[in-house]
Amino acid sequence: MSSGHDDEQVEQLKMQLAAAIGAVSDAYRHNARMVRVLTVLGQPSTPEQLVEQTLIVLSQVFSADVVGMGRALGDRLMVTSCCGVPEGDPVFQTGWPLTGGAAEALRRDAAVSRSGAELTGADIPERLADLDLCSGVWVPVSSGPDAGEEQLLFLFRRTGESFPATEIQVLSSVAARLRLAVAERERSVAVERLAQSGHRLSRYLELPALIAEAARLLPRLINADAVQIVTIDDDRAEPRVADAVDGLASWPARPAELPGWFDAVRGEPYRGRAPFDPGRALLCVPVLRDGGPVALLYAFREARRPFLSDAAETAAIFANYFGAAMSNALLYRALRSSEESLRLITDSISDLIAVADPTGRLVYASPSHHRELAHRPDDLLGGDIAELVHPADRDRLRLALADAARSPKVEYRMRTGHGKWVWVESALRPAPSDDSTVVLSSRVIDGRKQLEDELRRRATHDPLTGLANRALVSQRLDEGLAEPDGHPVGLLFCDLDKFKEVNDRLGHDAGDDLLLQVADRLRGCLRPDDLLARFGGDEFVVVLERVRDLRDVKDVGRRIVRALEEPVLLGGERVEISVSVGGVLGVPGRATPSSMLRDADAAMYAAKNAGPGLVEVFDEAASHRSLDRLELRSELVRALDRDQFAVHYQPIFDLATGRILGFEALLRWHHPVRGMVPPDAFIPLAEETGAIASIGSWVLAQSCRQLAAWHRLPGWDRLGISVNLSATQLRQPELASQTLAVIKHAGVQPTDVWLEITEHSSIRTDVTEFATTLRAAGVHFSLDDFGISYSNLSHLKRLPVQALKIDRSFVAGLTEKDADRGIVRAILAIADSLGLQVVAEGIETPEQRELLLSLGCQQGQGYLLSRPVPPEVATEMLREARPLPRLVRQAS
Amino acid sequence: MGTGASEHADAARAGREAAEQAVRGLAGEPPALVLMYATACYDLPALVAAVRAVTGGASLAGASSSGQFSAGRLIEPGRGVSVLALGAGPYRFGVASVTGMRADAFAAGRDLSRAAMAAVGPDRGPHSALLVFSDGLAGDPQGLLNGIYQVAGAAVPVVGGAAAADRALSETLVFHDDRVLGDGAVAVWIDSPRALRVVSGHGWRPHGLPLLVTKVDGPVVHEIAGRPAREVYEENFRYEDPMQELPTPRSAGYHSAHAFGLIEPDGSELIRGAFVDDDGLIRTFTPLPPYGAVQIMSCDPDDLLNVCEPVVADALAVESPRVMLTFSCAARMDILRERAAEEPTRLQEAAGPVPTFGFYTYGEFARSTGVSGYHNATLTALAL
Repeated sequence: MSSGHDDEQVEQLKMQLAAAIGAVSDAYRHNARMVRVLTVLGQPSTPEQLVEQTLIVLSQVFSADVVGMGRALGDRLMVTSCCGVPEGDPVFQTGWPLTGGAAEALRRDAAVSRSGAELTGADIPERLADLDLCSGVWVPVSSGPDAGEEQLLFLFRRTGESFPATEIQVLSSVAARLRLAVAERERSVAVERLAQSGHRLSRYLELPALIAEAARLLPRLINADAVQIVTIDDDRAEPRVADAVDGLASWPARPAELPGWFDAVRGEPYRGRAPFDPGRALLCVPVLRDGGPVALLYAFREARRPFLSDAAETAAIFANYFGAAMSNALLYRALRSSEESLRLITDSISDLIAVADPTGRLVYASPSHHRELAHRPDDLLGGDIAELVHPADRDRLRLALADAARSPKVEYRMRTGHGKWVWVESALRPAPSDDSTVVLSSRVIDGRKQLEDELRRRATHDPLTGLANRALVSQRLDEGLAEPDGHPVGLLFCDLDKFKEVNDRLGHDAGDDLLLQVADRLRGCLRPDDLLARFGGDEFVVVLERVRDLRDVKDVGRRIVRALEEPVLLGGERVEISVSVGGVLGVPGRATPSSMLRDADAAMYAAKNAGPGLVEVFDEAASHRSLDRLELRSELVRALDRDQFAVHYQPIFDLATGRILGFEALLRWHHPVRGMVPPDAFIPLAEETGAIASIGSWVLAQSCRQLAAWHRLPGWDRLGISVNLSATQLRQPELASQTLAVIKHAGVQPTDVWLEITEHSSIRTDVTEFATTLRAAGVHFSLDDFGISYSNLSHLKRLPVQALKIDRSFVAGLTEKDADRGIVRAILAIADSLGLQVVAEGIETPEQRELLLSLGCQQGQGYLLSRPVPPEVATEMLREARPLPRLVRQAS
Repeated sequence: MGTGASEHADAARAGREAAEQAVRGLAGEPPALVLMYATACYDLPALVAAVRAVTGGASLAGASSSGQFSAGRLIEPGRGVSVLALGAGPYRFGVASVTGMRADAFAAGRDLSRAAMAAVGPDRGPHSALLVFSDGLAGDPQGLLNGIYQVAGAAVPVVGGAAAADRALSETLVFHDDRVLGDGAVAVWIDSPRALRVVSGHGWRPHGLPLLVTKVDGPVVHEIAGRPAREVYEENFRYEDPMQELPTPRSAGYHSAHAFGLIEPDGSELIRGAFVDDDGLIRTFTPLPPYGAVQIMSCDPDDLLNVCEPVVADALAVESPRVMLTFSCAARMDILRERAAEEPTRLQEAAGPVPTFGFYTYGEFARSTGVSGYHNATLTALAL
């Protein structure tokens, strides 16, 4: 083969290769076009983006200058999307005439391609003339689901190259695929919008707002031109969309006249023409509740685009959402009304209602918090309630909150908005929810707390001086003695020596003033830890903490005595006072509060007995005395029952003649162990215990019976008997009647009985009525202690007294002391002037008798004349003696 | 019209020199538009300020470059600034810029063309074109063009270049008035009483059979024709010279005389430069579309240089041009190597009295038919 032939062959082969490559290249290009378009169709996007991007890719892969989609609308092709026509061009609004290739493509429902000379003004819109377009293709996009939605895909090139059959084929496939892809996107968008619309509707809880939102959403969902929503209430239809372009001036009021009503009551949508405007398509879907329509949703479109089944389905789903939202709205209305009532209640009640979550943070606080605590409820929300609580009370509240079921009430201090602490009582209740949320219903209990404090203070303090009382002393002693290895505790009992006199002389107010001043002075000589108390009357008690021994106790006692040495100023008068102090030392583990109180009391008595202004501390002897006194006291109560008492009688004589005029009855206690107990020892105890009443009554009865016996002795039927009445007896309300009953029962005359009372007791107790009653019955009274205490002559005038007794202390000093003699003389003068008899007591020497006689005192008693004697001895004395010649003791 | 250039190291001085030189060319006429290309090495804000101090309130647009050329003279990458001061003449200019290309190039393109159109005002003449500079390493430049097309339509051709950074894959920037923008684009809407013509040419030749890109992930090409991309690339790369070194980021420049050619509907190819990265993956500067048909392209310096004259002739086929705006690819300079200076020379010689002014880009815009218009390794031009 020649080289020329070879070259020719090589050249041929090269050409064949080039042709083959060209063919491959073309095939790949077509393939690549299809693949590129399919790729963009498969990418996620909205329907609008999908069309936009597809058109761009079509422009790229088909080298087209203008690529667009249009929809036939009457005689115009409306451009729905386009690439290559500038943004904002009027064709997007007006489209262009549906003529030429476009019209033909739609008519034939097949792609039409034109280029070069075939391409005329009918094919190219005027607006695009400047682009010098040379070829075009129109591809019908298969009819959409709604008839009349005829769409076209169109491409134009500025080059003369026509769109060949292969490209048209590709474009037809693309158009079909694009329609499907767009339909699918639209569906998914519709579903998404539907889903969103459910959410959107559920946000509206007021019916008007809900209807407005539904009227806004529905047209977008089903591409409607207008919507109307008609609610059905009590068989009345009411259109609710005020600005609806529904083409109807007035909707029928009767539901049965509504378009689509009969489908609606079956729960089915209705599609058709609007009866009032045949140029419009209408869709009606019912909103059902309890099987019946409560509202109808109407949608309108131009009649050329009737509603198809997918729109009806979408609207039906929307109607379900709307129905659910409507129910919510109605429930909300009911709930709101109930909430408003509740709020009214919570606003009005003064209780503080709060809800705390499991961490103690407040999730609700009633408005009353502002009123009661000056905290705005909004400021409290989210905050830890414990932060507002007094640090000392926080744990208590937290524990209670953690176990609200078992700690239904808790009290704590809370800080107000003004920074003040107030006491709050909270009732806790677990919230109905399953977590540990707690509802607190609280009240400010400051007033109650203050009252409680006051009551507590009163229960433990003396109201006059503000000092501690017996209860607090016992408590303090309990505490002090509770520690087995603790310090000893000291106790001082202080009793004012002359309080009674001050009270009697200057009155109660002065007495109270004195107590206050004494309290002040006592406070001044104690340590801050020591407890000063008042037990009533003039008894002050001091508890001394941490003392070493009894000497410490005694030292404090001495300080107290010294503190009261200085006279007290009462109503401008300087009054001398003093105090008797008894002290005791209590050792923890051995002493008890009651033993200490008893022993201190005993020591105080010992001090008092020893003289005013002295301190005694409890020692063994005092301890015995104390015990002794207690024993005596208890035995005294039982002595009457045990028949241990006896009445002895001391004769009262006519000092001049030596004759017996009468007897003074005197009580004697024959103790089986102690022997004869002196009256001084047991009469005060009898008065203290109240036993004096029954004992006194017994003495009177015994004496009267004895007198009756003596009266039966010949010549002694005028004998008198004197019986002492104690101040305690005088306070008995029924004393007058009881006394008369006893006298009568014994068979003696009241006129034979002389009741001896002390001036002191007659002052402390109003005896006027008592004395007047008995006196009227004939009973005589004599004043036992005239001259010793108050000695007010006005008493003598007020009391029905017939005799005065001259105390033994004056009689004793009669022969030596001028003063006593003067007093006796004065008493005799007073008695004489008032016509009273006078009896001198305690005559022990003949000189005394002589002197008394010389002063004019005619009656007397005493050891010189006769000791008190048992009744039988007295009877013997009467038998031996001469009877009284006359009634010397009978009052005139 | 006047042009100026300076290679002074100090930004302020270089800017002032270049601007003063350019303004002098206007012979007293106030500039209506200032274009500025500069190496990214400069303190760019200072540079822009220095230029604006001379050119006054005239709108400024521009980009960082990988070398510039002006009136036939080449300024190598790594130094220099070139300034063009343009009197209004029959044109009206509206300059605007956007950022956010990476996030959404399509939206950025729409916003950019809307803003540029608005800047020129509502009364527009019968013709217009858009001069665009974009961040050369941000996002999808074709996406930017798609957005521009959506707004401007088919009647408005687009020309311009993607900003470069002296062969580095570092930050590339565009200039708008006194601002220096990253991740952005600047556009000049040119309103004209006469038609404006955007042209392009590359000179590359396809080799072998067309291939289908079957798996691509952004700039990484994983599979071609269902096989590992690198394997296929190497076979075709060494189509003529089995000893040919594969281009890598470490080789001199990033571009070689081999690239992908993306086959266009009209049968032409869009050049897409490619290289093998450190992981051995095939990468392109612009993403290849999935299922795109490609051919391996190659060229030699003469192929590249021989397009100068037809491109210039095509561009100058307009009424009384005053300047020819030209954009050449940094890849072309890399391939031309020591002959790089021949391109500006031949361009200027072909243009005759019309001064040429341009820079080396990381991608060229030339859209005149359809939406496609982003190129690599290509020469594009617009004569005004």
